Amino acid sequence: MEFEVVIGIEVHCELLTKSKMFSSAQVTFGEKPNTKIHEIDLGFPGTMPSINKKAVEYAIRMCHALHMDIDHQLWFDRKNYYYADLPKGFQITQDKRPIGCNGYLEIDVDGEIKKIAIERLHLEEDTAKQVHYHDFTLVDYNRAGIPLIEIVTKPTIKSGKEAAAYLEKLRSYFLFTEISDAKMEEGSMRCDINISIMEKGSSVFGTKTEIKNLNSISNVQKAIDFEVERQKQIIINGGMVEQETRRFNEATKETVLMRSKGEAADYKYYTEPNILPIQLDASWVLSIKEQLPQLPEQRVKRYVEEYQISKVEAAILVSSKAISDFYEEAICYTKEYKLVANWILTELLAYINKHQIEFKELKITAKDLAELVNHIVKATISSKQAKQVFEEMMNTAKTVEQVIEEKGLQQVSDTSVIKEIILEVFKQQPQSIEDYKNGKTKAIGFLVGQVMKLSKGQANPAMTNKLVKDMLEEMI
Amino acid sequence: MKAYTIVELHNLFKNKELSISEYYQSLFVELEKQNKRLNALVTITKEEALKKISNLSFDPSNMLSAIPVVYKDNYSTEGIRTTASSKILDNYLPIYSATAVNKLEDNNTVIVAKASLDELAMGGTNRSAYTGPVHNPWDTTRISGGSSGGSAAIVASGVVPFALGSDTGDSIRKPAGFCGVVGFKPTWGRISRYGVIPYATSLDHLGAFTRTIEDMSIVIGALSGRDDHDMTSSMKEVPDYYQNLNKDIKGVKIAILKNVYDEVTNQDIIDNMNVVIEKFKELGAIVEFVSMEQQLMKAILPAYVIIANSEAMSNHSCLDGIKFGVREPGDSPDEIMIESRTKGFSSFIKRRFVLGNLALATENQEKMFRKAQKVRRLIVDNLNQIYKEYDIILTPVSGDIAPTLEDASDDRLSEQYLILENHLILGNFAGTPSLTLPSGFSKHMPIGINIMGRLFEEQTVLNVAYALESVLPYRNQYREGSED
Amino acid sequence: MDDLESKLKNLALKAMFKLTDEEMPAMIEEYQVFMHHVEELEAIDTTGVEPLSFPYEEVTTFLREDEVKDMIRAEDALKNVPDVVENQIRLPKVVK
Repeated sequence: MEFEVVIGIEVHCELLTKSKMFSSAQVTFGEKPNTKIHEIDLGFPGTMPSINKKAVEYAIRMCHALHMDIDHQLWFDRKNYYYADLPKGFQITQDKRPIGCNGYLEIDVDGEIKKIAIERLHLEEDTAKQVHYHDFTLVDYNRAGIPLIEIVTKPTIKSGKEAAAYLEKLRSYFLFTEISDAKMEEGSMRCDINISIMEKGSSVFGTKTEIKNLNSISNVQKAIDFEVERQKQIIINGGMVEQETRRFNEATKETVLMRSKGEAADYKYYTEPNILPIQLDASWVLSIKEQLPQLPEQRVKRYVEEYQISKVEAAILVSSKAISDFYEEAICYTKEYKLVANWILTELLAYINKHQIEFKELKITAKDLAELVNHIVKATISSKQAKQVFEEMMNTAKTVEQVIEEKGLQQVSDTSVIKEIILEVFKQQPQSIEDYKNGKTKAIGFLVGQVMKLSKGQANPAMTNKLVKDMLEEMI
Repeated sequence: MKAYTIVELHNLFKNKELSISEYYQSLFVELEKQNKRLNALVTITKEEALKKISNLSFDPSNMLSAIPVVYKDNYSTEGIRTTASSKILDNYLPIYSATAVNKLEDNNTVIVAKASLDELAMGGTNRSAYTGPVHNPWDTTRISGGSSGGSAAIVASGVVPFALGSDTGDSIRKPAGFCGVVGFKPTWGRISRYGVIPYATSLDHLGAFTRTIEDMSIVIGALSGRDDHDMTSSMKEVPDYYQNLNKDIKGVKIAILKNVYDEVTNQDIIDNMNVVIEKFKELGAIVEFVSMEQQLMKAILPAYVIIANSEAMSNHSCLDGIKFGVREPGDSPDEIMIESRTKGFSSFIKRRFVLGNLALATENQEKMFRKAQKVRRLIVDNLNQIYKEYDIILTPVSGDIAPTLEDASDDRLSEQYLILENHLILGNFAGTPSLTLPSGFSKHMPIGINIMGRLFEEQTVLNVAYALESVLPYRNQYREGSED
Repeated sequence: MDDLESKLKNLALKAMFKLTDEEMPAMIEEYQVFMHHVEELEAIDTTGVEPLSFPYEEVTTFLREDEVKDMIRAEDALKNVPDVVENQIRLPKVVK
């Protein structure tokens, strides 16, 4: 039996706004419980929602990034259900008119590009947090009301690998558009997977199960791989897949039953009567698109085409927004696109790894690195010296100029100065001159070495080499 | 104790003819007395009031300075018990105040009491209050009407010049008629609803009770205006309703809704309507009869019941005993919610919620809730046709006087007097400004007429009422009860 | 009747409260009146008519600026809660 896998993914993402979706309480993470709250988010009777403009802006940013059609009128709905973490007894969300629809995201799986169709993107609010102890639960409302966007794909994902690629890409979009820190381990990015299988060629979809509470992209992939096999086995053995909600057991790498779908909750969606429809200014929506930070794949394209960076290197440069932004800043100050990329990918990243620091803790600025590279090319200092200078700059936050001056590392490229040193060396090494006259070309190397020694490594090596040769020739 | 209007009280304070502290001392004595008679109040806030007065510096340029105010007990008042007359909120202390309350506080008013209402404002008789039924000051065997019954009764007793209420299906305008006072609900969105415990959001309006139109214009002026906390509140500028009051209504076109007028059988009310029509004509207004589609008029009550119960059920989902309210014990959060709500709501409310739940259920929504919303549009469009030609719609408030406590039925769910007793809902469906003015008596009980205008034309409504008030003998009428 | 009774009791439970047997007669009566209302509306032709979710349709443009203000203190938020532990509401554990 051959099977087709049908996967749809729902991602919730917490937005990095200062205040909450419907109130002006602060958006935070990890603060003392119930200290970042407002009567609105606690559902006190009589409270009414007030929509956060920044949250709308961030949602629009993401809609643009995902090539979505944007509804220029905002309508909200109530999703009604009862739960201890839902203070109002309903969540304000967008059911009938999501702010974005009909988008796509391109993923690259083993060299093949695939477009994942995205059904919708909408705004809503987060619930309170419940912390469970042995026989009681504590409720903390700091999280209640934090703005969320929910992104739902069409069920066109076919494997765990594709799902992982989708989530990686989506995550990088969240970071590059700067709307979220998208940390699955902290819950600022969450995903639910809907998965079913069907016989190849069939037009009848299989029963789908839902997998929730996945805390990493690799677990998503593992969970899907397991679930696909599990469902296959059931069908092969003549059984029926039950509609269930499952979670992933990291230790056993298996999906485990959480609850049967049973009677699905009826959310009784209807238009939120406390929010009159809001007309979005078309030029504002457009300006958000124009100001959109370049997304990873656009940057890769530019790096490869305009700066002749290799695809592999470009991919590493965009692996984090911090690195990519650093590079973008650096090339404002130097035309040595490849060289500065190389310095970032080798020296800079090596330093960061060695000292276990974050990008934002760097003492060196992009401008500094660019100037270092410029100095190398100008031959003010040699490559070898540059590494020294770099180390010093990384440790002390001093500029290139400062370090060069302090250490007296200025590479000497003045011909007359080098000639003088060479003459001095000639005086000291008459035997080498004899050797050269007798055909021993190795003497050149030795003499060059002596010049370097005498100049404390500051003489321009290439120039020194040439001048030594020339001057030796003259003596013959 | 004399029944002062806001204007009178203001002048007495300004001219130092009445000491503020002395006034309040006798006010609280009188308030207790009236409350024993009428059962109109849930909480009397004597301590808070006296504290505010001791720190108060009278502002002679502000008409509301040092004036006492009573709030219907669905207005959140920070630190002061707010129960919405429901057992489930019997111990609830809000941690914030409604915008309307803050606005009046900023005007230096003094809160003296929270008034009783039908439980969660869902009723028309004020018999369902947790503290018991409210009595009509004109005849204590009769109801005050509801749901703002406490506010209506306490103003009608003369002890305070004004009180705030809310109106979702006529809950200011009908009790105003029953109690012989002025009751006004301005346009939806004119006054911020932030902080008032809702009933049905798309129908809820805030408003006030006074005994004169001048007073009403002062109060409404102070309450109106944009509030960013309420995204449905209007950005429109607020006119100076009080300064702009004008009795000259020559040429104003008034339409009498024939569908309502034809249903009246009470002869006193018919005669009264005709007297009012004559007076309006004498004042220079043009008065004509118009009709709305009868089928749509009959659909008002059904559509209202479906929409109101559905929205109410959703709005009150937050009353679960977990964050506030009377919590009953349980072995799980679900059980706590279920027990608290079972014990905290009356049967009456629970029935409404069941029906609301039915109408909102996804499988039913299209043919129940959304159908009602579609019919609402048809009704509102039909109503707005009238406003193309006429400035004001005039109707009797009710087909009868306030019923006795035994006779009063809160069942809007009953079929009787379908149009006559429910036509005021038009003002909630369309959001139009609607005012009740006392216009006469029947069997010694007050009766009133209702004046309704176009969206945001509060000034026209007030002016028309002002003109009529000036040619009727019912201005500042009240019933202290010492006559009984 | 039994079917209707359990349907109504179930609706109540879904709204997180219980109806007693004593409350059922009044409930059934109101249900019937309610269904009559539904029928009356059915008779009205609403083809092509959009639901009216607000008294009038006005499109607004206001959106709140993203600034932090007006937060409430934990003590105030929890003032109305009978069982508070470590600044949080304590509830019996959710039965899973």
